[in-house]
Amino acid sequence: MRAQPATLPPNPCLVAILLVVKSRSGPRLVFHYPHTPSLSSASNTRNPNWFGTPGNQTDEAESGDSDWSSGSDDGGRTDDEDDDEGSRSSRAWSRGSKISGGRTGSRFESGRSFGSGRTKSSMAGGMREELDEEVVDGDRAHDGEGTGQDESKEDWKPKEQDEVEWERLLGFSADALSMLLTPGRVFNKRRFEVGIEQLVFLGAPMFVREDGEWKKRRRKIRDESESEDEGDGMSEHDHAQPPHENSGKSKAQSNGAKAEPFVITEHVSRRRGLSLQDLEDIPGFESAYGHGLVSGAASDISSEETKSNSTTYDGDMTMFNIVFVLNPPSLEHHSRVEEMYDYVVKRFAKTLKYQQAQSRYVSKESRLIIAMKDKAKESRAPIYSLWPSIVNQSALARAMALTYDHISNNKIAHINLSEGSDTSFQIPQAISTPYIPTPTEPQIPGLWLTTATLLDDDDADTMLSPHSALLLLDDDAALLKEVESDGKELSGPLSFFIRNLTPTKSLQKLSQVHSMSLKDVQFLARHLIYWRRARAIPPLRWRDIYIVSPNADMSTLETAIPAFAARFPTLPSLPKILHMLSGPPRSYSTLMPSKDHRTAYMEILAWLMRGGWVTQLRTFAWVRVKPEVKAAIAEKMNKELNASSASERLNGDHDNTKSDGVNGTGKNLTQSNLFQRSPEGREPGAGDNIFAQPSHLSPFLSPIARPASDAGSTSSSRTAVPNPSLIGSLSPLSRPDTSPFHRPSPLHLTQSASPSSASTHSSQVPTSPLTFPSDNDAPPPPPQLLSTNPADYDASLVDSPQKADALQSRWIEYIGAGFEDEELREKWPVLLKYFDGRHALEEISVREGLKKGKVAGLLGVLQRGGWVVSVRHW
Amino acid sequence: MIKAIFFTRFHPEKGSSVLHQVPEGAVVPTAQPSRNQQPPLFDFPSVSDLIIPRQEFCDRLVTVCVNHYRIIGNPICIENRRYDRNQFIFNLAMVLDEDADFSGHMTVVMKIASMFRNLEEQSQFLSKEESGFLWDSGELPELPPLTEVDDETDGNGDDKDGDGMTGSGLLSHYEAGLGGKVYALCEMIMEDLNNYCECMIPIDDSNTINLKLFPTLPPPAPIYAWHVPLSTVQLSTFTTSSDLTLTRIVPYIDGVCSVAQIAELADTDLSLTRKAVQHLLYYGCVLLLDIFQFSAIYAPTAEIGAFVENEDAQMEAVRYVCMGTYRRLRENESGTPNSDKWGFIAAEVGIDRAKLVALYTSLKHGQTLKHWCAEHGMLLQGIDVRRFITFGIIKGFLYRVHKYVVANTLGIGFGSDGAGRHSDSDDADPRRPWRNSRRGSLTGSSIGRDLPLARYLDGMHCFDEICTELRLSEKKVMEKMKAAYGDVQVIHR
Repeated sequence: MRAQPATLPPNPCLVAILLVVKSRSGPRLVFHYPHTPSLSSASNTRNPNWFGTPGNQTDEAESGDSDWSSGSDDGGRTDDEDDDEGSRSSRAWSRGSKISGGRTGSRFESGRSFGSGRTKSSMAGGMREELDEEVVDGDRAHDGEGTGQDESKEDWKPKEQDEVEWERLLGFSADALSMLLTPGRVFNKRRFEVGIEQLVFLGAPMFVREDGEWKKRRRKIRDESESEDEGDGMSEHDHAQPPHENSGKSKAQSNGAKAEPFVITEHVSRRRGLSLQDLEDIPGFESAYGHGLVSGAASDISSEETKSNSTTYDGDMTMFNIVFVLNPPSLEHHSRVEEMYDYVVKRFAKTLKYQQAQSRYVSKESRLIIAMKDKAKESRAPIYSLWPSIVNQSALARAMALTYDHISNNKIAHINLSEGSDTSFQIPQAISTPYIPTPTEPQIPGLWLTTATLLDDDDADTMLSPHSALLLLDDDAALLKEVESDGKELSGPLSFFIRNLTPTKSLQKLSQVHSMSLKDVQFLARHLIYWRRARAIPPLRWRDIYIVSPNADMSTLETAIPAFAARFPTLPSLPKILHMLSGPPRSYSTLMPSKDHRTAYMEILAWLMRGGWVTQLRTFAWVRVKPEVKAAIAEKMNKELNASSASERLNGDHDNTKSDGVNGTGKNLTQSNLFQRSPEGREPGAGDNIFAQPSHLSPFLSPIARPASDAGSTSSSRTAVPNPSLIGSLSPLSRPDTSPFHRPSPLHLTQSASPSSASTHSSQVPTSPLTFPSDNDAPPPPPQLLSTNPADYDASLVDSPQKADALQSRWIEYIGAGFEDEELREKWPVLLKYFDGRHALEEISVREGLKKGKVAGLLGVLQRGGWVVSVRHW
Repeated sequence: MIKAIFFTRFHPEKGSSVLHQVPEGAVVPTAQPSRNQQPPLFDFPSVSDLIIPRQEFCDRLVTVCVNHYRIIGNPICIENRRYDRNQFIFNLAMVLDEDADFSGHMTVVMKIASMFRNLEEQSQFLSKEESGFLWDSGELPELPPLTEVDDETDGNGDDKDGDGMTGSGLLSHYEAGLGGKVYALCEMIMEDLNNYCECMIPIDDSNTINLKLFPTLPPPAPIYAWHVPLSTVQLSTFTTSSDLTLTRIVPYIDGVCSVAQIAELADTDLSLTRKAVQHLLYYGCVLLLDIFQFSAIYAPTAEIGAFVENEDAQMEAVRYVCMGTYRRLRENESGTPNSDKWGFIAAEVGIDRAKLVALYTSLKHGQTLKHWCAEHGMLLQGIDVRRFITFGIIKGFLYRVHKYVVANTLGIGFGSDGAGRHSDSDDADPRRPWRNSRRGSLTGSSIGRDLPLARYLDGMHCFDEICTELRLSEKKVMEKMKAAYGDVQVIHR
């Protein structure tokens, strides 16, 4: 996978979900959702608006924007190829859509006008087996007065290419598709990816075992169903479906009953009966897992029974394939397909296979759906009424519909396959980015800009540090209402937790205050985070500094201002607050007119944080080694040298080589440290989740951006600040050897420390053990004795004190010993580990259990004394 | 990197068969495997239905992933009465690693497919070649009458094993090997595309295969008038471009001038200029910067950490930002001994890296560059401040904190152009922030005239944009806004 410098916005590119099964009688497309998949969802992932101000230019906006919105892969094609391909593909697609061509005008209407009553009338229609499109269209036109009550529930979107028959979709016949999507056993439990033009068919075929079973006999069920376990950890107990689903179901049942009374009731009763039986089967199955024969026999019986019931579709299913049809942009093909497969397709297929092994679930549901389709075919029911009734009758069809609706809207799909089995899928979304938007690399506007989520080495196992706070992403009142109406087992603790949650307190503190165990708190927090209702943040503190986020979504300002005003009526307006946060970095408390306003202002801060309007400005620091320190250490080393090897010093050459060696190793050590240490050095592996671990790779430090050549930019004396008064006091900067400066500089931060570059580097300053890489500008001291004059040294930074080499450690130690403040001397080793440019200094007090004021005082001393160099960013 | 190219035909009796494969044995095992023969990359029979799919899927690009390889093919079905069953179905497919970028290969495969279709339709290029041993022969192909080679007839092993219809692979290597032309084409295409990313193969007098693998680049970002392009290559070498606008603007792309300025200086149309710069951006020849101003605010980004820890980047920065030093010359430099001569030495570096890091880290929010310079004037000795800032922007460890205005009163600036129409007809201010008086006067474009200021008050328009469009100085814009709307809030972000 290539490194993606900019975080990709969520874009499932989902076109349809298909279920294909293969039995002895051949492959069959059982169900697809939506009923008429649209091909038009050409996904343009980066909204042109992100680049700033499109469309309101005074000059022609098209010059900038039209190019942007055009396809992403047409840059390099020759013209004739373009034409060729264009005509070819349009020919190809029109083949599928020609039947609906020319009726575009009425389509929208008809798409919306399907209703409950029409099934009957169309059933009562002619006796023709094969439906002619014209006829069906006529039917629909006659039934145009349908109530359309299903529309709100099912959210049908009238599509560009409505097909009237379900035997054709995406421009292909269902037959051909089912052939295409039932590959050989070689794909069993593997990723199955077939691309046809711009469509990707992505599935995970599941095959029956050679012995006719769907699972290994002597295996524990637990092993087989890992995917369920992780999903069920939280949602095992919510049997109840979301309210709208229940109502929809009952409505549709009455609906369906009116339309085709016989079929439906029969199916329903059979399904009910079977599911009851299944429930009884399962315990027996489980208790008997040690005795494969028993369980096998039990399930065989049930399948036998259902087979005898079924008349339309017989033959044992040998494989099924749940296929997701995607339409990814070509530049994002790999990542989109991968995330869909890893997070949804694979898990869906595994869940189905588990159900199939348990209760022949897929075969039964398939039979049910096919029976309904066949029935409807005879009665020439239109697809618009058939599909809702299938979705209502079949739990599997409902799960597919739900998955489609939710996943394609970037939501969490929580599906309920059968009683007692529910699971959820989601494609994780980015919650933060460390990169600011630039004119060429925009970010998702409003995405939280921070590095706080990047590393927490010590908390990596739990993924949720006890020091982080939880920020609710919804209004807590609304959330509470939802949780309480849910009535699930978790809702009690959850509502207590939500009621007492505050983003100003860390989880640890919350657990102490409310005497809950930290584990429980973390569990509840994770639950809320998983369901995208909350986000882990560093606790909000009035002492910390907050700025307007460079990634704030200004286009939402129009709606945010009134929302803010409604939420905080007596307080300054949103623009005013943002203006106050625009100044030089100050602690947030300086915004507050008085201490009494603290609660209100912290609520404002939480509100701003939630909307991505602000981000915390955090402080990062490195140890600065002053020349005096270096000189002092040099003196010490000289003494040691004198004492230990007075005789050796006679032999200058020997000493030289020795010091050379020291120098070289020291350098190599630091370099390798630097690269080991940095997360930048970690290439995103194929398995790395791009959202969980955004690579630090800078888009600008990549080899493409090779800007610092003088090619384009003229050096101008205009922009330099002349300061003649200083010139006289310049130290002799007379190193004629400027060759290292002309060394081709690797722009890439991840470039590994090549030994050759290190060695050439050191060969230029061969004689001095103290010529540390960072003081190239110091004149080489005499070979034997190190210079003890501070003027010979330059200040340098130690970038990761934890990995300092011998010399750096001596410096650090010396600095620590030199403090007058007793407390500082004592805390220096503690503080030291935060001076690596990665840990925010704001975290020290919490993590080390020190008083905030004290830490601030110590840091102040260090900063004033020039012992650390600090910088503020997010 | 193309792993293999193979040519498949659907034989009415034998099913899908691989006629040619490069390298040998990459797709189906050869009849007489050589000693160090690698096993096939994937199991051909299991995907043969996808490579030669039903007719419905022909004439489309079909890709299949199997065994961590991606097969890109474009099955073609030609209907003509001269063929058996009136159909001629073939597919020339490429095999790539599954996770390799394949967007360029798709167009190449499509082009080859349409090329082959044309060749076949014109001159039976494909069918003629195999007619000898495919059409005339029954279950056991005899010696191909059309070819000279007659010593290899042992290639019917595949046909004997009874699964001819299911398409279990190779019509024996030697049979296929005779049809030299298509095989040679496959070989040449693979070799040239892998080595040179392009190929030109003459086929006959009137046909030539021209292929090129184009990398897929993301569409370029839109260019606005206030962007400052900075070239990353020597653009002067491109002056032979046929794009007249491009030729004219190239001399002015210097990392200082904004697009609007460039258009003015080069006397080109602004929208064409934007388009030309967009072309340069698409090919990575320019970067986009902001308009450098001393009244602007710059602050470090999270990337600063990487900069602090990367010595090479610091060295580069030192090279880039230093203008040389002005100092007392040493004796050997001045030539005359004991003279108190001063001089400017351009090549000399007057700062060290630690100082540079200290300077970069001292940039902060809420402080304009002007004030920052005043504060750090002592340290800025020998540094070109513009280059100092630009370097940070280019490398991404600094960012420009843009300035936005938001009306405090609701309704203004939000989709209500009518609210408080304000005439800006007096915008001929010669002291625009970026305007150098020596440069030519305005050409008669009417940018920004008669625009109500209200549309800039929604917080979506940074001051660079407003000033560029209105051709007013920041101060003047601020005055006008305050005068017109009173309560406006400035937001830096």
